[in-house]
Amino acid sequence: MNVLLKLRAAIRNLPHKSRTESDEAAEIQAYIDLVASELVASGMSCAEAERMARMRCGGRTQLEQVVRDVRTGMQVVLLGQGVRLALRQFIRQPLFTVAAVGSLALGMGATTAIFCAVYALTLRPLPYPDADRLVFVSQGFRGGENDAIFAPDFMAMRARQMRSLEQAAGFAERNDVNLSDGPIPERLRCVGITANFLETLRVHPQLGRDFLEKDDRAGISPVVLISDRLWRSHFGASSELIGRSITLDAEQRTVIGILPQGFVFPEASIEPDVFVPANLPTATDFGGGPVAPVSVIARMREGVTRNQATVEVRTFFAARVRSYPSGWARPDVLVESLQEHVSGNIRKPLLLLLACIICVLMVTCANVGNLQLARAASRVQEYSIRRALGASRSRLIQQFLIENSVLTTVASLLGLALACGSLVLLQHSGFLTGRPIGTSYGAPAFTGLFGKYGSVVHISAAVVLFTFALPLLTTALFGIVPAMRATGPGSLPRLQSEGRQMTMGYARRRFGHVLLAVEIAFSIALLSCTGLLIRSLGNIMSYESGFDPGNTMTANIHLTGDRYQNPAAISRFNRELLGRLEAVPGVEEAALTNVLPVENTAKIQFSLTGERNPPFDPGNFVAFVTVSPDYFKAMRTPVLKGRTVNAGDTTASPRVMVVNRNLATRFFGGDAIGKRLYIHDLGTAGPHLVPVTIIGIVENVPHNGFLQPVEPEVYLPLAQAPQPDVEIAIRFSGTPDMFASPMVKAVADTDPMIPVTGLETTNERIAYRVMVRKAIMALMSAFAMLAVVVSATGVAGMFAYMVAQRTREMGIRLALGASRAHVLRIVLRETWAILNLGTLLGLLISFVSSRSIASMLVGIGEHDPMVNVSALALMAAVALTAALVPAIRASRTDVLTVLREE
Amino acid sequence: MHGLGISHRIEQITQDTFQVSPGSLFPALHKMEEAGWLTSFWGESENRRRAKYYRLTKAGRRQLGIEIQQWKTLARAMASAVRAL
Repeated sequence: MNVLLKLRAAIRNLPHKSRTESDEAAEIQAYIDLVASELVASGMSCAEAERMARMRCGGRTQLEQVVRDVRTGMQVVLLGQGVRLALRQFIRQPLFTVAAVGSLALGMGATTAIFCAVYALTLRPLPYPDADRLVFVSQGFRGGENDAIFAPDFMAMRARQMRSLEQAAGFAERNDVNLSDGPIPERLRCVGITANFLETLRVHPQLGRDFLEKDDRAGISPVVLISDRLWRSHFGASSELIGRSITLDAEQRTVIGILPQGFVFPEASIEPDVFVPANLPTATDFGGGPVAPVSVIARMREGVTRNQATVEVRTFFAARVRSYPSGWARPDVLVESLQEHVSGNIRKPLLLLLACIICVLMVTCANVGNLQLARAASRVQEYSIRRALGASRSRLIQQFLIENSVLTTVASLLGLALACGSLVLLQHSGFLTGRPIGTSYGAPAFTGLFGKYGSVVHISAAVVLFTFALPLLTTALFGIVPAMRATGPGSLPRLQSEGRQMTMGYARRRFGHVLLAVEIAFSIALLSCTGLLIRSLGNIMSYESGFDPGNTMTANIHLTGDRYQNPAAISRFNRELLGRLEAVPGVEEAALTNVLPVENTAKIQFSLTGERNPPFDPGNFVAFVTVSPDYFKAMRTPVLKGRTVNAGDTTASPRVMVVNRNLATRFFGGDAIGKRLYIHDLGTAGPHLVPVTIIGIVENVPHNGFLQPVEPEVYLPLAQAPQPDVEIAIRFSGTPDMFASPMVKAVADTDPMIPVTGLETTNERIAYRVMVRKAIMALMSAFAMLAVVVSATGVAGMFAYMVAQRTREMGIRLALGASRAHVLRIVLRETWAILNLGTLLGLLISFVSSRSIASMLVGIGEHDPMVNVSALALMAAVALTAALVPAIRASRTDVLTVLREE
Repeated sequence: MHGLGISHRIEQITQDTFQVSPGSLFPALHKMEEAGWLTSFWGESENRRRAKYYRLTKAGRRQLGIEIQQWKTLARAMASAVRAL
């Protein structure tokens, strides 16, 4: 039958349903009458003939139903009927509906929100044309971080035409620059890019031109590209800016182009506002001097797979390694998709959250499935009657599934609303993108949960699709089994036994029990994982003291420009600034350094033996911190041995250093005072290592975040190793806001052209360091609690229902002499059995799943018995409490009422 | 011809090999009517009772030709298959 005819039939049938219906009924009636009249004609009595005719038809309602079933368009009518029936059912059972829809909506809403983030941050293509062809090439040494390759390797790679790579571009992080045009000086994030960088990304400036090959050579007139943000906020979006020069670090640079609005730099940790030519050394061999690192983004040729590119790049590097100076470590080369590289840090926690929320969703699904099972069991009579009236089994299952779909669709709509609401709330609170710190950076800071890409987290078409696919999946998950069971062969003889129905047999309850056990198992697994994370955060926050974060305030300045070209000028600035800071009333100590506690350290080459040119090897590098005399006092770092830096340690006096406990024990067995270490002289920047005497040992202080173990570190006197990066730290008595403006004023009085950034207390700084971890932990805790609550309602609901079903049995037991405590025990014993199964499963799941969070744990093993036991205890307590209410109700069964009913 | 008449006729010409129950008769008739192969109208039966009559349409006749052709092909095929046994 062709579609058109079908449609016509449907159009004919649908609006005239009652007419078609009565016509069919009349036809069947006419048929029966005809048969009867024939029988009468053959000599049967009227009544007998009527009965006989009806019997030959095989039941009139059934016949009507069979005819109805083939009617075109009937499916639509049935669906409508089903939906209406489902809605009526749900309205009649408000408690069930609220419980089921509520828990499903919570589960789905949270899943949608998390999926939103996962999609936006790890699945959505990066905002560049053909972004799937972009790769990030890097090499790492001995498991260190992969983020760059050596500039000579990069030059060689570009010179040689790679078969798999169309283009290779590089960028190198530069120091921040001070923009001193305008009323207040601004500090800007700057990056050096090769001339083909934007071309490789397929991005074009919205105004002006891109860098040319000749711009990227030293000695050419300095040019600069700026971001749309800076252009709008600082230069009022004036198109006349192109071709004009601006002052960066007291140097004139010509603006040649503005990057397009919404351009995102392909590196998670930086979002520069100023782009300068990378000016990489063109040499392709290692001359023995220091080598510049460069981060490399390449575009693969059309149709080339990442494996092919990896093989070619690896082969290339294998040949290059032979030209490395002897003694250099062998690198491992990595070619990852740019997307993976950009989302690298956030990918793991996000996937973890997604896995957790899916666990929660499973728990809610199991719970609703259980509720449905209970409902189905109480509707057995209804099903029996419907089957007797001619409904087929598939029709009953269909109705069941329609009910579930209605339930889940309503829940998913609510969930979507919930997800939208929470995302809007989060976006407004700045939780996703982080706070714009009190700096003059054009770009917002990256301390938020999802870094700079947080702002792209929003509800997109893919997310909506996901939300609508979710109910289908969940319906399938928890709808089909109860439907099959409720309508199965066992449900048929109910019509006869109704009214004398006894307790549901154990076999029929078992499925519900398994569902409950699964819920409990997932809840326990979630609880254990959350417990491990909570303990980890506790461990992080109770770090080896080393310093006291209370009552200290820090800020950051950067000394650049021709005025600070020589170390003496920087030292003079430092001295003057320190004098002004110390004079501020309420300041107990003021100190300057290049790296504050917890922040990332820089490293310099060193040698224990005095080799003039030690080979390149990560083991030959040591972290260094430059400090002014009062630094350890201001930070409250305990001095273990010897003395600290004092005002007498200047360029004129012998080179000295203080080392941390770790270095002293590792290299000198603890007895380091008076020993020597050879390092580059940072004060004169000479080419060779010079001996430096160790004058003191201080307690270890955490650097590079809290998770890294403390490395050997040296503290150099600021006067002997002046650095352009200056961190100001003061210890004060009073409230922090009293000191913000005096600190800015002290800097401005020393040099009005130097901007101050990152003004905050140490406690704030530390809080932002652990913010992501805290957020993940808070979310996981919320998920675990949700799972526990849902399983508890599941247990309570299941047993409430069971007790209601078994009232008669309980009454008889009591009448036959069972004590009330005994009845209580019957219910609790069943709970206990479920708990045991759930616990066993839960331990198994958490045993496997905790491995996935092992990398996020600090100071605690992935299988911590304490955490597991507390998770078990909590779940057991909640489940038993939930079962207690129905159990008590069972034990209070009124014997007389039951017996009277019998 | 009306429903009962059709089933009687089938029994008659197939010499009681096919007995069509109303449970298969009516769905089949209704399907064919929706496909446009039959038209129906209410009329009066031989013994003066109301009955629903069915008649082949032009499209129905064409379809019948096709079905017969298909059946013949099938029957011939089956016959030669059986003969080969």
